[in-house]
Amino acid sequence: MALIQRLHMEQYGTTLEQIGKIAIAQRENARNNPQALFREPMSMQDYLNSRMISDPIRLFDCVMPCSGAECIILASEDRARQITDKLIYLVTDAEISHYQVANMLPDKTTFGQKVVGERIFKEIKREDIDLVEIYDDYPIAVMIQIEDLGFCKKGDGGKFVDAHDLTYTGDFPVNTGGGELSVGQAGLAGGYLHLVEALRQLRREAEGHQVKKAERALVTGIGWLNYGRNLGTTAALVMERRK
Amino acid sequence: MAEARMPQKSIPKVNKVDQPFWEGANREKFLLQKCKSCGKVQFFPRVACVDCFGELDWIESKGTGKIHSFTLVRVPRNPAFKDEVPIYYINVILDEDVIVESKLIGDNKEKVKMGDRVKAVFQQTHDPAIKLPCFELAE
Repeated sequence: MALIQRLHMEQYGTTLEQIGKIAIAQRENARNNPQALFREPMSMQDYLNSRMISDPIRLFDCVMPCSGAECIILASEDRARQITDKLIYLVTDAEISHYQVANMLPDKTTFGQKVVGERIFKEIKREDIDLVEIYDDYPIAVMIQIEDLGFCKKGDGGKFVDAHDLTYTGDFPVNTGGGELSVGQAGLAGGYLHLVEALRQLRREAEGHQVKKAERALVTGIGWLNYGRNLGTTAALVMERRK
Repeated sequence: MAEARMPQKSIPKVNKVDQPFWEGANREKFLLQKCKSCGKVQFFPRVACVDCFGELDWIESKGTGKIHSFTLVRVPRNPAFKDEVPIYYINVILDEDVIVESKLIGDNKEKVKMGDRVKAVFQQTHDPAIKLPCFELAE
């Protein structure tokens, strides 16, 4: 990911401050999430001064492994109505494996989310999404997925971050519970964090960090980024609350 | 109780598909695959051409290329590599237009910049049968 971040900074002029803003916004969200592990304030100086791990990736770009487990129940509408009156519906989903597998000079700053986004947004409009839960092994991965999903042009992720408030009270809420960066990464269960947080938001159960208008949420997951080709799986889905 | 073992530096696990590549590296040659049908050159080694599934030949790369991206690994995942930090982990685009992940070695590696020209060099590992293809900055 350090190789990818350096390329993004070099090719598009993305700054550390723009990348850091994502980590800081997620920390702000985590401060209001009782289940997050990291709830101390984080300033831009804290971010920039954190220990170098693999240039330009710093400590506060990294997730911390933790223990944890998640469970969601997927059921037919009839069955679900017997359990709850707060039903959340799957609107659409898309997935791709082995992105750029045959490309010997892959664009390392583009993930399979580009293809996934094209499919998802044939079904639904971007402006109808109220909050996004984006797989966040590193803040740069969040920025790249915002671009790939078409919320801005490739390379404009830094400007997009500058122009928007990414906290749960902002105009583009991202990783509203703190994401893996501030909640912790529970091994391979880490990816489910985003799904569970989206469900809590849509069910109005996001204690202390509820997004005001939370009707529709986008959730993403990314697999491996080996050889910059995203040879694992990339996936996303949209869920919505219905009366 | 078992004694705590010193961590070992990991080395490539050679398989049938990439065996010719590692044999080449041991002779200090950087080998690539070329499709007998469509002529596409590919890296890393695979069982068939990624475009047309054709049979493959092995060709020798000139071993020259340029730095596509790099990072200085300061916290290695495997603690056995602590004696090498910072490790100059690089992406190189070879002149044959394939991308390679490797490491930069040599006395002048601190001067590395994006786009710098590099050439392949081969580093002996603790296994006599395995040499690692690495790179040095070209003068």
